[in-house]
Amino acid sequence: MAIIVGSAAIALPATAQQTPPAFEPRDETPEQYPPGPNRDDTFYFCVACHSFQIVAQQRMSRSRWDDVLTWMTERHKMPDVQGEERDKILDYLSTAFPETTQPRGWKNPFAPK
Amino acid sequence: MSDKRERTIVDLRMEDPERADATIFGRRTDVSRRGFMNGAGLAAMSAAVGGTIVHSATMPGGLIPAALAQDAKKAPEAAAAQGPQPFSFPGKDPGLSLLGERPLVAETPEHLLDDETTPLSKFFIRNNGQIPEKAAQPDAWELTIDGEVNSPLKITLGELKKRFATKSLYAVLECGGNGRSFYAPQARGNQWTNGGAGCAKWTGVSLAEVLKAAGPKASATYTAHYGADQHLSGDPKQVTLSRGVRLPKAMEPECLLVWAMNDAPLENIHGGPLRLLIPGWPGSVSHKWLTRITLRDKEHDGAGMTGFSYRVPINPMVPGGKGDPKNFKILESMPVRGIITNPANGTKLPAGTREIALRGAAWAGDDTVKAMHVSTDYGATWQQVELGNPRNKFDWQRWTARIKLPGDGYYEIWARATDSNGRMQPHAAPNWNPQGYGGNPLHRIAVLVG
Repeated sequence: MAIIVGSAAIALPATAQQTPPAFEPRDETPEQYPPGPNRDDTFYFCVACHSFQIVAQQRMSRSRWDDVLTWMTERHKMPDVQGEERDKILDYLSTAFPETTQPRGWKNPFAPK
Repeated sequence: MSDKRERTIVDLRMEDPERADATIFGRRTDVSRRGFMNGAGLAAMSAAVGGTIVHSATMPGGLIPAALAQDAKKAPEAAAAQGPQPFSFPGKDPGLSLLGERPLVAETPEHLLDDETTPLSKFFIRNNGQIPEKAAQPDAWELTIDGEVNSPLKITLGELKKRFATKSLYAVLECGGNGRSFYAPQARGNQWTNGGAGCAKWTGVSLAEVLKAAGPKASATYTAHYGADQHLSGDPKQVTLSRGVRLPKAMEPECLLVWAMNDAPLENIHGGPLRLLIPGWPGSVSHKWLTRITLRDKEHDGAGMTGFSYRVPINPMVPGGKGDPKNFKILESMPVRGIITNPANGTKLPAGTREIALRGAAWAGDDTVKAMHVSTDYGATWQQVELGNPRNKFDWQRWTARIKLPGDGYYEIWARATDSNGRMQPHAAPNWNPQGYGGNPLHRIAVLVG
């Protein structure tokens, strides 16, 4: 099968050597995560580099989420997103994954459902 | 919303095709500007195009798949919402808890740490970057020792095996963030319970002997480690992780350059063919896919050495507060930790059960465990357990106990280790810090009788 790319048709060689990846992460979609305004934009912004699973594990205040974006830019060279775009991302993160005083580590396995 | 997203993708690609590859599809164009280096990126782009991209390996970077360019309005149908997904990795126990797939991180629930030596199938997985391809010729793997040395060394794994004496030891390897999930408010990072740890038999050569062969200068005080794993962004200029230790730690006889784990060649997923083992300290200094050790004349400042990374407060800070980087010091020896490996948390026992056999493990970074206690009454009273000796320094210690229960009902079993300096595990995760290092509260499980 040839893939049509750009403005011209390019037939790619059928003999391409492809090493199987060491591990293939499963697809993630925004719908797997809590609904809310700006979810999809936030999702696609973050998954450029890492899975959203690591985002969804967190529970932080807006100010600490803001620190995370700064840290991501300083430590991992994430684009320095500012202004309205940053606000949208922070709105979603601090609403979907707000700070909790409950640690995640202990859950009563017999808790009434 | 999906229309908007579709336009965004196309707009981005028009403005800066390569950047769009990285930001939307997680696709990294390598030096040859071809190929999908990352499975998720390929999957995402395939989904957007609405079919499998067969020749993805040779697809030139920065080009817009025609299906996207021609029909920007035809939004990809998102996959149906997925529930919790079981862990699946070749050779690994499906009972491991997946914390994230990119980077791939999975921990071992405490009850799966019930073996005296943790088998490969149950050993936790921690990556910071992309997982490199498996080395085709392990013995050709090259290690460089340079920096503050008199004779820089470039040596293959095959030569290492021939030139230096082989050593083996049992040692705990533990993620620096182990126990992070017990912090309140929640600390940032992978939410490990107690399972970012395991104890394997490691085989290799003494790091000290190899460093000595390069002739460290008097000015050498610190190590800097580098591995072959690429940064998640795919940017080859970005270092995934580069940590190091004070030279005296690196010169300890138990620090090894490792090529075998549990008597088998070191698996790629655990850093094979060659990794470091710096036992007792956060796992991130035991670099996987090790390619270089540079000796430095000052504390290393590589990726993961600064800010709040692998650091704990000097003076305690307000939990949830901002933190002053000047008030932080590098986390070196890991704190004492004990776990119950049998029964599992959530075990139901038949009515009338009045005695339970407990098993567990305990370890304490650079130190040993002096005592282990259990309580069935929320810490009001404690019972000392039978604690074994380590097989060698840095091994964990296994323990057993029998506890009596007065009647049927809900019980919590708490387990608390005390290290050789007399320090006990606290009831709550101590010394809160933004990235949650040093979280070693006592282990707590619940069982239901009847």
